[in-house]
Amino acid sequence: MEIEFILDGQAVHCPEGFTVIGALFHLGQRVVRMTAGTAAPRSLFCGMGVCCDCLMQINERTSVRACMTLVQPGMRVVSAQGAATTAYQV
Amino acid sequence: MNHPSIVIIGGGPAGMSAAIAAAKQGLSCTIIDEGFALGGQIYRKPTNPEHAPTPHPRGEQLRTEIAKLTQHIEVRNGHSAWGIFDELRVAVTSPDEHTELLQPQALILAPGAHELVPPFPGWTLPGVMTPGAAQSLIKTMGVAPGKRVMLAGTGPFLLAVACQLIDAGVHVVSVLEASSRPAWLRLPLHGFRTPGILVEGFLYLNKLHQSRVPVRYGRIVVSAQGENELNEVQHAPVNAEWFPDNNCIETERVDTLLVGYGFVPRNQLAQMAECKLEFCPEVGGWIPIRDRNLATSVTGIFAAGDGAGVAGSLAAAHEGELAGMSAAFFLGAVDEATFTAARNLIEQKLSRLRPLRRALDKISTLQPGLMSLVRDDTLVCRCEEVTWGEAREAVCAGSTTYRSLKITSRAGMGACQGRFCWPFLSRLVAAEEKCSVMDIGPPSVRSPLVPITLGSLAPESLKN
Repeated sequence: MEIEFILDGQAVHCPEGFTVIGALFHLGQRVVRMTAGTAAPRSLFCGMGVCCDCLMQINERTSVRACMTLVQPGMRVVSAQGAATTAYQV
Repeated sequence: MNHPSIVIIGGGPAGMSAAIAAAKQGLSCTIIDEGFALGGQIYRKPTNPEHAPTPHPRGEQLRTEIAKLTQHIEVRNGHSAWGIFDELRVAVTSPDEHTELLQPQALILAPGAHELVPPFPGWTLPGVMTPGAAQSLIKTMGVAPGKRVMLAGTGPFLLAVACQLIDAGVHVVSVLEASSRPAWLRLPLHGFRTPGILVEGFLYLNKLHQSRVPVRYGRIVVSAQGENELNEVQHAPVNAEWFPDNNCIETERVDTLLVGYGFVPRNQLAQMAECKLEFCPEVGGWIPIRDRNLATSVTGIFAAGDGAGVAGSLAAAHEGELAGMSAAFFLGAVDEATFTAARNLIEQKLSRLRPLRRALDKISTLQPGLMSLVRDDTLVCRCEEVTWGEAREAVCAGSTTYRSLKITSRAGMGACQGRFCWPFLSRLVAAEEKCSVMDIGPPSVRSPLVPITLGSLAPESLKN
């Protein structure tokens, strides 16, 4: 079963039961955000919700851990290209 | 609201075993776990069973036992325990953003550990991650972390992950183990009481050999390069103190580097509950002080598993069982004779695991050379993007505590709350102050320990 969700405005697909980070890797996109300070690319790092490197904007909510979130049909995922993702800038 | 007798934080081997032990004594338990299913990191259950490999049988067995005890055990997956207040009140937020204060009569902390990664040039590049992160992709979804993968660090976990990658069809280029080969060759001397674990290790090495994946001892990764993602790694041989020989650097083209130098106990809830901590570098750093029953210094709070000192999944399960029995004894659900007999049995099992574990800890003890990889422009705090040079400047200017360093440099102020940078920043401070890391202390903790929304704290009446 494939699930359709929206990544940066584009409809994309992944198998069900995939985390957001898993779906991105599956789609060949490893960069999940650019940092607020130096616009450096970041991706999956600890994979268990501790490091907060894979924070993304999911369903209009900022700072969501992509490794701890399962893709839902129609989910809107934004890979924060330069957008503020850290809490103090929200 | 019905409060359970026991709240258990963490659904890995320790948490699951604790729940099983306490539930068998007739106590009501609630397991709070952030994962999608019980298992913790080691026994992760596939979220997509079609793509993922078969889960570990020990994890399946524990989940089956829990399922048989549903009368007594409530499992809350996807829930975050992010604070402890007024002794045993635990703040828990559900995935649909409802927050509750659970007030059990006993609390068992089994939060596990996260990996230790030293800062080095290029370590923030996409494609550089922990072995555990790569493992999580494979175990739950069968997703590969990359195409050409190198593993570096220390400890048997690297070998296990390398084998899982091979099974998933990923090209593993090599495994770099920082400690020397002779140290590893002596391991069997310490493992005669746990032959099963030695055999497991041998099978890993054998698989790597058959797959023509070299395991290179006494080497570490010194830097990584790439534009937007990793594409090149430099590694070098090291001396006994892990200082690299920069005249013998080799370059390898890889798109993925998994770095892990052991584990750090997740002690934040214990610290927030004001359990007394002690510094034990051989088991990962700051851990709650526990008595023979795994009780912490705070009445009613017990701690088990890697979160209370890294000892691996088998020890975690035994400790969990002991903590569950101890909590049951503390609550009067089991008599002293039964408890003592159970404890003796568990202690025997734990002592059998100890010699090999101690030997492994010794081999993988962090050496000072690992601190020599950073350059002044290397980020040490990934969250706030603070460089080693900036942090050092702040330390030299007198910021020699976690709090002051945070204020002057922002290091440790970000979303991970110093979990990744502090093990190294504290060493920087200790070097500057000419004291031991123990004197510097753990990072201060603050709630919420994980990102939660403000809305999840609002009363129901204010939610739309």
